[in-house]
Amino acid sequence: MNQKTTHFGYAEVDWNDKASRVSQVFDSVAGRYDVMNDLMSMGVHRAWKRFTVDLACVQKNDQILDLAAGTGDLASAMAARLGPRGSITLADYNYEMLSRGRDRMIDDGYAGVARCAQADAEALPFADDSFDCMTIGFGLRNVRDKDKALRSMLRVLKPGGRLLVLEFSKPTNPLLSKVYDTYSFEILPRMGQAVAGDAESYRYLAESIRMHPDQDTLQSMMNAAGFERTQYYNLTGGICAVHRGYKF
Amino acid sequence: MALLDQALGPLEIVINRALASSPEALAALQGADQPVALELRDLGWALRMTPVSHGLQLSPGAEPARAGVSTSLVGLARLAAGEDPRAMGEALRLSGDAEYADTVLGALRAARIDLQAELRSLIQPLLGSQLGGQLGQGLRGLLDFGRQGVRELLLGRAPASDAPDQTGGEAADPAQTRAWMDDVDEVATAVDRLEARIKRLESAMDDPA
Repeated sequence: MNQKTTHFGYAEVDWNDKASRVSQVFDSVAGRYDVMNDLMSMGVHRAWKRFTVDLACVQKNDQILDLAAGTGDLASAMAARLGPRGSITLADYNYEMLSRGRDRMIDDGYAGVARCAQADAEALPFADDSFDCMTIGFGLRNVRDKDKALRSMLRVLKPGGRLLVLEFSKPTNPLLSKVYDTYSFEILPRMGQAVAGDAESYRYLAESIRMHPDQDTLQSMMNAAGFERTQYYNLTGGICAVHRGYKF
Repeated sequence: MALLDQALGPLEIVINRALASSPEALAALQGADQPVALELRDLGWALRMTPVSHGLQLSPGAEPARAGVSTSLVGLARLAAGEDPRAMGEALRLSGDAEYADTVLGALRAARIDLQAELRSLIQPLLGSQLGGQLGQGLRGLLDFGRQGVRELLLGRAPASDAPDQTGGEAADPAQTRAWMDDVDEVATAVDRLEARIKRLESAMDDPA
């Protein structure tokens, strides 16, 4: 009997095992996640996230869904732009990460506009046409069935609403690509071991980035899911990219 | 075109940030959903401005649209600062459905965007010097335009020349005149920025929700 498989980094794993394996990774790194992000990207991830939030162009009364909300840095930045009639829902598959995101929203003073939901991006537990704006930052590559997740996101987006996907991507310059590979596979796991005591999770991070669809492929996937007027913006030479699409 | 791709995001962010703080500008876009083609002649860029729920989406592309605008980066900055396109002469050419173009451009004008300050603050940390340099050239042109306007307004004649005054009257020292013009220019620019920011703050206070 042929068992359905999917990738977990470079490894092929049983389809049903990926979610729990990804969850183990984030359980392991949740406590040091923000510190590691700063160290690994030398702080550049803050500029990427700021660009994403700026591009989202949050309106005061928007209903926002931040998927794979993690420790809530994107959500907190967007909540700052909401008025009292706006709201933001933080959703994450992983309870450890979500609880840190919830704590951040409370600490930052956004408890009044924030809600939390432990949710699977492939089957979002929200009504159709619920959100004006949706973001998923560094989360889509961990999703098992990306096409299904994109369709689910489209469903809960209001007509006229926009989805922004911030994700690692493919460097456009071959030289940068070589430097980036060396950094990812030689330095990153050692840094993970030294700071978070977990080299394997950071090896998975590097591998999962390489397995993620490149800019054009992801744009095609968004089009196929039903998003319109899709476009992407390369950041730091394509190491990262923001894709945006609308529902009409 | 890589440069255009890099510039679109920051330019769109600047425009939409200003639109978000200008309810009348956003209201002007209600009901408009078709793209306006925008050609920035000095940069060789062709893009489309499409109204969306939160402002304008900028995307690359030279496909024909319901209306078209051909101008320079300086022309775009003048328009965004609130100048009437009909008073811009050859600096801005409209084609196609002029009424529709006016609707979309009207929103840009109403937003009174300080492109110079906004782009500079946004682009340099994100994209580095290459794009900053190119946009900087355009923005220097904008400043030159301002300087020329002040000079003509104050002296009521053609731009001052470094040549000796042939009229027999009392000629101002060219270096002193230039320095004074620079000071006037700096003050005028600062006042324009302040005025635009006060208008945005007033709009935000009028609509706290």
